[in-house]
Amino acid sequence: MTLDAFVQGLVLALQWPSFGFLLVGIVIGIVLGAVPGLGGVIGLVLILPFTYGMDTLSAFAILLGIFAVTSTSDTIASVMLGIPGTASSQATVLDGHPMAQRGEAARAFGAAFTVSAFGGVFGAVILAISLPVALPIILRFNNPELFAVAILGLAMVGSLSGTSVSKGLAAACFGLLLSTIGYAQDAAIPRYWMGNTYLLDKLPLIPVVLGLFALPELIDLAAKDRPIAHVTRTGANWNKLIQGIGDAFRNWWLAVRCSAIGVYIGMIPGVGGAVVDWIAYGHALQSTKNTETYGTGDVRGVIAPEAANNAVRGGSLIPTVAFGVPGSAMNALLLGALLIQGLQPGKPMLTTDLPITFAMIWNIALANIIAAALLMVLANQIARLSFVSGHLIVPCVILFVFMGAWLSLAEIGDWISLMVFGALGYLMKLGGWPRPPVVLAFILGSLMENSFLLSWKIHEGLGWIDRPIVVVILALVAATLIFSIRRNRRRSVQVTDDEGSANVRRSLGEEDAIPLASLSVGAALLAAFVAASVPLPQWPTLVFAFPLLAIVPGALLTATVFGSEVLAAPRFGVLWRAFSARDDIRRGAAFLGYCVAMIGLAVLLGQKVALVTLVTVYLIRWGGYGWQVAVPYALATAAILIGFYDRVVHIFWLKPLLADEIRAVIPDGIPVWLIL
Amino acid sequence: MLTRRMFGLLAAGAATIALPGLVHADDYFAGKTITWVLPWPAGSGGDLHGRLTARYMEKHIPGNPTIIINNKPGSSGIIAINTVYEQGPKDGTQYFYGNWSPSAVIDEAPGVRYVPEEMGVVGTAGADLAFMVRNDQVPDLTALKDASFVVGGRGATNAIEVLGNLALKTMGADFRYVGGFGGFSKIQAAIKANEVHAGHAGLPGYVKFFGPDSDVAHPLYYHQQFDIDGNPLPKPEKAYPPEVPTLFEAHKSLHGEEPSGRYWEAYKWWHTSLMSATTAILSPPGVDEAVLAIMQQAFQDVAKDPEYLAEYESSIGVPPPFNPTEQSIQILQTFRDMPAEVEEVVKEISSL
Repeated sequence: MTLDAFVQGLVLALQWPSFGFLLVGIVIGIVLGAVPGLGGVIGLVLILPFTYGMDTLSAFAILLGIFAVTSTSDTIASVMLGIPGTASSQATVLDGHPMAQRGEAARAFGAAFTVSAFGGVFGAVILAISLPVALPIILRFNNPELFAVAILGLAMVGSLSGTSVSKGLAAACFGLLLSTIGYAQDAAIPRYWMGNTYLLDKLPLIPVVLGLFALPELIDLAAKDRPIAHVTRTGANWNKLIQGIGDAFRNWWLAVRCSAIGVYIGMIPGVGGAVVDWIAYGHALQSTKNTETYGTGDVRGVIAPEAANNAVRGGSLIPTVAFGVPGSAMNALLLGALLIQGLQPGKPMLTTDLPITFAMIWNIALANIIAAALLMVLANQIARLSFVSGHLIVPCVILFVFMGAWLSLAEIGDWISLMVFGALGYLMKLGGWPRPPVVLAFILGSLMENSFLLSWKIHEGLGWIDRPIVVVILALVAATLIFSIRRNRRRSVQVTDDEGSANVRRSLGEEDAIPLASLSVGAALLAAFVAASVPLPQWPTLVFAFPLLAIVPGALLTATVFGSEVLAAPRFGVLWRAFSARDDIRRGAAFLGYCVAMIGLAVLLGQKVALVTLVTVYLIRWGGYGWQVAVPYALATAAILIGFYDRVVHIFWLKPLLADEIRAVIPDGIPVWLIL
Repeated sequence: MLTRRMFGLLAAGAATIALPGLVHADDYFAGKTITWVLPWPAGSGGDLHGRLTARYMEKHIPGNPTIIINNKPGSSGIIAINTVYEQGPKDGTQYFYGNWSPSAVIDEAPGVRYVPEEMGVVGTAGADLAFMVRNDQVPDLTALKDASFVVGGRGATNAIEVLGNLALKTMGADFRYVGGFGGFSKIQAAIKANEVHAGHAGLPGYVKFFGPDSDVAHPLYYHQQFDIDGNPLPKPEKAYPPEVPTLFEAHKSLHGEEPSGRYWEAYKWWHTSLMSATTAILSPPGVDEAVLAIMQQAFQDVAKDPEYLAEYESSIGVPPPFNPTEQSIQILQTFRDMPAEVEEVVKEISSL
């Protein structure tokens, strides 16, 4: 019966006009995934009302087209800019971006898009095989198991995303601490909100991610006055693209395993999307040979997460359709679409309506293949951008970064968070502190606290710790930590012994790590942990329990790292002179100053005026371009702000201090929304 | 007894009297753009019904203005309502649409700066609720007497949970409460996985996750709505199977007498004064009464529009009980008048 439904599903997915709607969805999804800070949720929200009058298959075709391919096109930002387009493409940055810096962006794309398509299709096949056992698997993942999986994700990212396990785990603890800002999980007590309503609920994710990842990369591009690629262009991109496709086929078994990981992790509601790329990356490290090149631009480090993060979308459909438990905002929207179409989540979707479920899975698979093919065609042009002057890329990306952050709560706090985490991210980058653990821990923190407290309350203590799945997962956590420590030791011996490994050290950020920057980050984290411990005694046990779990190990690990670096460091005066003498750092600080000035201008005159001014001034003063470049660029910026963010997304703009004065001077007949 | 229909007529009459003053209903909103500020993120359940209601309001407001949706999530809705209260223009072009958290206002929760009594009321809607319990734990009402079970909930201070737990106390049930699930989608998953045995469900949650044919859990009783005078209203159509009793009926059936006592009194006050208007459309203070009257009439028209109700039912679930304008205004003006004995009981229930 399952096989029949599998074939029927394919036939349904290929029917016209639903296939046409799938193509429309794919194009929208590619654009939204490629722009940092947008993502599929906006696309689904905008399209959902149009599906009310459509037939079921067409409605799901367009929605799933968007849903499926944002995790294919988000590779572009990860590889080209070092900015994870979505939460599930963080691990791709580790090897994808160094490849772009080496002039191999096209190769990374070739490999990533091939395994994305493969992951989508193979994910569908695995789903077909797994459906009969899907329900029991999902039912076994209760709160204790969710907590254990989240720990595994943190252990993976904390120990694999840098060269120091201590720094990685300390960064993860800092991310967990950030996640405790705002109302506690089970009491009307806000934590660390500093009297600011912006922090009452919780710190929004997007400004934190864009701050930690996007701003440091933009500062680098702006300050170092060079293209994304650090080498001159050699050979045609087509050859590199084909080389990347070849890489994907050579590593087919790795792609198969990571796709399977993606499907099964995807079935776990709420956890899948965030941790899957790290679990796949960790699996690649643990199961392949010659692992010392991971993190320096090894194509296998792109293949593993990209195969998994496309397969995860198919897996995540199962809890949505079978239980009505959406694991993410996009799944929640799809659930809404199910109900609009008169379909009821639950057993019927796995029995009588199984062909429709399979049509949905096929839509995802087809969308992945088509998107990969389209992106392959475009990859050549996109990869060329890595050889274009960074000054032409920065203004465009900064526009989307600031507007992406603003989409969170539409409060000035969004931009302040972006700047604070931008400055921290830049220092972390300079000081060799890994940033991914902060983000992943921040994403998983709420879920971890919630599942921990619920497990504690339901089982009245730690009675859940010996559940079989929990034990297995915690064993994997221990294995991951032991493996990482041994790997780092082995690598440090290799690097010390081998002069030729200088490149490895440089790419890992070790050689480039600036001691004063590292010390500053250590001091900042330590101060944060100490300050966060002050209000703990005032809170009830269940309110302070989780912050305490982040503070104690975080403070100990940070103190260890900080202490060892202080002991190893020469005099601070020498460090400061070395730090402040670096031209790129001074230019980086100036760039942040431009951003701060833009925010000031926005408060005064409005965001549209401020962003267009920033773009224009940047192009002329930093890029050295004339008005013939700056004016069309500024006009395009204004068109995006007005045409997309104002007229389509209807965002809530900041009300500037001089709003009334500006309104007074705008001539009659000119709409106010063009300016304010 | 005043019915909803009578309130509707009264409100319509009030609007007709008020309009000839400063504002002409037919053209005031023509060509204007109205903004609804929603406290939910784009794509959430609340966002969907906000957008749906906005589309039908556009049709029913004379002059057919455009309504755009601004999502301003965060701080459990406080940011959105603070924004409208403090910064909204007074010309009737900006409204808050969402949960206005009366219990947070009463508790003077951190960050609450809005004063609901000062805001203009366009309309309100309540929420139909039921108590869902696993079939194998409490197969029928009589089993409740001897059963002992774990109730999963959003959090003991949440308004829905207060109501639900007051009802369980009224029934004399033996239960252990585990709060912190956030929303019903998580509670229902825990019920299905047998982590907890029961939970308090909104009608859309019941329809979406269980329905009448579920072999996992069933509604043991539902929370009947009351009108402005405290009289019970009939069961909403298509809501629950006919055999599902009200709390009142369930108590009589189980204990052989009508419910009474401090929990029941607190329950009645909580239900009538707070839970019957969980969702509200509110304007900033200072909006002209006549402008509000146009909006109030349009809201009442939307609430009766069969096309809207059908679309609501197909896309979201059974529509909520919409309140007459008069009742909405009264709730917003009197919600703080909690009797001391009710306050004491609520405090006890909130610390479960």
